[in-house]
Amino acid sequence: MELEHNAYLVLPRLHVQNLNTISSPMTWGAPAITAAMGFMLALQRKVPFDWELDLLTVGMVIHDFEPQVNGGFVKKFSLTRNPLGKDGKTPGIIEEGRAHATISLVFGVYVAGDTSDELLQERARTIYKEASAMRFAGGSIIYSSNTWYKPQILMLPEDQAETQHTLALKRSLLPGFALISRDDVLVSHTKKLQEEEPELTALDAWLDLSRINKRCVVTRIEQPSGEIKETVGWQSDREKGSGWLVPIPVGYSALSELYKAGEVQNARDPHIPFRFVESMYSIGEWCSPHRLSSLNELLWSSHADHEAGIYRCINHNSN
Amino acid sequence: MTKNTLKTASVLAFERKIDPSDALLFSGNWSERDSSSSWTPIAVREKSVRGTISNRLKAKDQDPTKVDAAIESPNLQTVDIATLDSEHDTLQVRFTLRVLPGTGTPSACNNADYQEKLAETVNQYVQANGFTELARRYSANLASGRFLWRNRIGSEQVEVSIAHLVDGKAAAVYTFNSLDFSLRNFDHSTEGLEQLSHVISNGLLGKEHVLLQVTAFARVGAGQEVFPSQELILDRGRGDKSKTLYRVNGVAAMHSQKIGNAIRTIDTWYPVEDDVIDLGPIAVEPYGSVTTQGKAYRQPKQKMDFYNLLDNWLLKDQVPALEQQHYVMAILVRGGVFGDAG
Amino acid sequence: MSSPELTSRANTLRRLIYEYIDEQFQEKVKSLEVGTDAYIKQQEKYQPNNWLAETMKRIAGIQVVTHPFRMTNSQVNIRHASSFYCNPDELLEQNYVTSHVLKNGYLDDLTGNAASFPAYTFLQLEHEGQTLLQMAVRKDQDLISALHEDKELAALWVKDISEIYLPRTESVASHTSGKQIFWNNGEDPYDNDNYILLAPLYSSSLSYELYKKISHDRYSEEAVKAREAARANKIHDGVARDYRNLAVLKLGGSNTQNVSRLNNLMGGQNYLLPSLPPSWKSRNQRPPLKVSSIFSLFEKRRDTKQWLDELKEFLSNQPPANKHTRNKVDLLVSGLLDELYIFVTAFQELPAGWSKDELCDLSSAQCYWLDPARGLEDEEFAESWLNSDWDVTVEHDFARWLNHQLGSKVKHLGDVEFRRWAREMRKDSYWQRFISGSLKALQKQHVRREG
Repeated sequence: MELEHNAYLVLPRLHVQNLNTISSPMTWGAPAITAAMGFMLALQRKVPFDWELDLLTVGMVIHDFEPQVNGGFVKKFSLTRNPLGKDGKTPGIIEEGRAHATISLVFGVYVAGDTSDELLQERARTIYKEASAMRFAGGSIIYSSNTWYKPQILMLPEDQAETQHTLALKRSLLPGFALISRDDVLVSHTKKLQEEEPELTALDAWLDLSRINKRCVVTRIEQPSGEIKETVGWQSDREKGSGWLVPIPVGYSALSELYKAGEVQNARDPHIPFRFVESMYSIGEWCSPHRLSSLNELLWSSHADHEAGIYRCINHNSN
Repeated sequence: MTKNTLKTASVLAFERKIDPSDALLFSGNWSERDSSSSWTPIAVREKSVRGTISNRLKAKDQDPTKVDAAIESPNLQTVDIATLDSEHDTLQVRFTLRVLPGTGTPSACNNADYQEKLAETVNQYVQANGFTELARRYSANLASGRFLWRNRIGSEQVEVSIAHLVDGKAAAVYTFNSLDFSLRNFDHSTEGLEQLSHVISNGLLGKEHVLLQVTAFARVGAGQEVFPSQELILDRGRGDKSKTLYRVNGVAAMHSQKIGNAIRTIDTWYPVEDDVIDLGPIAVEPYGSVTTQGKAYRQPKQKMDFYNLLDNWLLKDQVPALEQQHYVMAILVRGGVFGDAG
Repeated sequence: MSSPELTSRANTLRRLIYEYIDEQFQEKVKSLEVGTDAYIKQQEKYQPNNWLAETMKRIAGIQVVTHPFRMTNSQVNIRHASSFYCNPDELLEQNYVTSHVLKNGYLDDLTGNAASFPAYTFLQLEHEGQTLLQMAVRKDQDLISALHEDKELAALWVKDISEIYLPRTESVASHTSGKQIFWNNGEDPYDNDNYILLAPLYSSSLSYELYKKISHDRYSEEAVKAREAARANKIHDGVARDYRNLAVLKLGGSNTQNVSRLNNLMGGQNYLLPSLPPSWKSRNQRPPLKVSSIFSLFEKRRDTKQWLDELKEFLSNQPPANKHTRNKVDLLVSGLLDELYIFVTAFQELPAGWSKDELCDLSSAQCYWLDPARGLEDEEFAESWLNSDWDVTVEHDFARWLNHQLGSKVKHLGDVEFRRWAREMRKDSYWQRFISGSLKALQKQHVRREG
């Protein structure tokens, strides 16, 4: 099913309440792109089969993000009380992190055949309605009365060139930030660190990119009098224009063999294969949509490689 | 008859079907309920309070001179507080509520036979009863303003207005004088309540998309304190605030969970010992637990908890009494993870 | 203690084991009087064969892991949900971060009944650089003979020890409280057969590595000194590392050991790094008071300058007046308008009515533009908002400002472009429709009230 998208579907400004902000065992904040991917698949299954409308890729633009955290330098998650157990006692607290967010989803869509624009927009509204009753990253999509943003399906010209319509679409996603992949930065930074200290790993590079490192720089300037004047300044290593880089989970890597259907006890579905995995991390960038040369750059697709044991999302912008 | 070997699913989960948003708090005047959308959002402020030493002192602190010293050292605390504006007398609480179809269809289940039996059982219940009884009780909890919790107490007047939104517009509006409704039973009814029940029932049955905008007004008096949800924070550091109120984008708010808890406070069918006075409805929970009382009213030993009732019904074909059927269905509407994986 | 039937290495091993047991015994009876009932009871318990038999039972209740299920839910018995030991050397080497990065060293974790964790300490006893556990894995014959005279029993013990890495579940099992996600294999998503289930597990070994590194960067003497120097702006050759928006996920509640040994070492404090999006709302967004045009603030932004510079540079090369030039200019101006859009939204989101302030020097047209929600409460304002051509004025303001910025470079583009920018501006009015709708409603309401 190697289809190329020929349209965008936009579900604008979904107000998601209490989404799960713990996106992996080592990251928190915006939902993982895998959550958007899961949403896309669930949504696809609600699109009537005979519409021949395939959701192929998904992009996530965040307009507003309000995590339910407290604490100063190190954040703690605000919890809610869970119902009591059978003995009337408080059960062990399993921490959950919650956030409210306003998110637009952009899908790369393949629409088969000739469909009138009127019908397409009606379908966009129907899909939006279905989506509104679903959960996104564990959160509820709540109603908002700010109804000036409309869901839409935009057919693309054959050469996928930017048009008035795609430019208008891009602007409708402002202000906001789209998640794109920066695998390239992780790879090059790992290499750079290893040139100095060979035993360092991708973990060190990943951490290095996730924090601000300040170093002391001393500048010596010779004065006309011949005197040397020293100025001291601590400088961050974040290069200007390197973008808003963040650590992100991008998928999963296998820990076990691929078990046959039914082999693993307590599987949610005993009819399909099962695999234990761990999260896989890379670097992403939050990029304002108007800085992208095409909306295609914010789209992610999902891949499965059973042999290598890699299940991950790939952003076509990268590299 | 073939021998029944159906077993419960080790993975079994349901999504909630009555899904409220967080509720936001606004300040205004009772006479201006018509223009409720332009009321002032209520902010959360910090205030310092001088606590008194009233906690039990540890033995080592009981030395009289130390007690004096401790009492003299002011027990200064910072707490959050929310109030109406001084020129306003009414609190407005606003949220939306989505009613979703598919009660009894698990979001996860790893036993197809079980799932089939479950669907069949729910179907039989719906054929016989619809969701009429549940919808009536959910509606009553909206109409009565039970979800206002402490904010309802002592209010001179309470009005709840519920708009049924279709394509972003109000297709119908139901307005209730909330104080006409008792919180202890579900006896009172009005024409509006019957209509609202019908809408909620339709939503649960999947006959239509149901989205409700609920707006409650409580006339509590000018400048009075109001009560948003309180945040649960573990390991508070020294000098941290001792009470943190919940807010969304700077507006005082109540957690959706708390609103949901009030709406599903419909269980009057739990077993009571004869000498206990009627406690009124409790929230629908698998063991009938009531957090504020630290008590569970449906203990497994009485076989009246959700798991026993459901297993008996599905696995042993012991159909529970109608009231308990209502209860089991209400748990399915509530949702949760119920698998039997030890 | 030594036995003639044993090889000398086996004898050494037995001595090592027995001495360890004796140490434990001495520690236990430190405060007991020799010969008392309590003492004799302990003596019985620490008789080597008794002690070893008991320890073997304890070993069955724990597991050496890198991925304990209890990081997901600390209440689940290790017999009910599988935990795994995954040697990083055997994991796929890749460019991304997974627990394969632990190849250069990591700590094994322990999960299960925490009261039995000391049994693992016993297995860490070393001889010639080898731990008892490693010997057991190799089915070391000397170890077997050292453990017990009954070789059959001892061989069974060694087998049990070597299986300490294996899941304690009867067969491989996940759990109803474990995360399981459906992953599509790339084929028709409508067909259930095209999915597999993925069950992600925490790597406590990796989390612990992260914890160590971050703790070092925050609390080590070296880190504290560097931070102090940076704060005081003093010369120092260290690196001050700053983790903004770091979060802590507390696992295991008050009983962190219940989850795993490494979780206990971390005090249950699992560090999470932030992938938060930036916020376009600045925290202390202030109304644009004491300025006569919003553009004088707009032009000071770094992002604005970038677009302007690019535009200036392009135009300064005297591009021919053709379609390509037009498109390029279009694109750059469009980028500039996007910046303006983002810039302006922040003011529009301020509490309505800020433009009433005496210090507000903006033209009324810019007030209508930047404080539109004032019209929701101020009818006079609303009236003019709806009935005046303030948008045209704003378009002119923008065009005049841009022309001024570009100076002479834009001359040859002329009046046509000027109007195109204006049109572009007007199209950019998602909010306009909304607000005029709301205002109409407000007016209707007023009419009703008065009537």
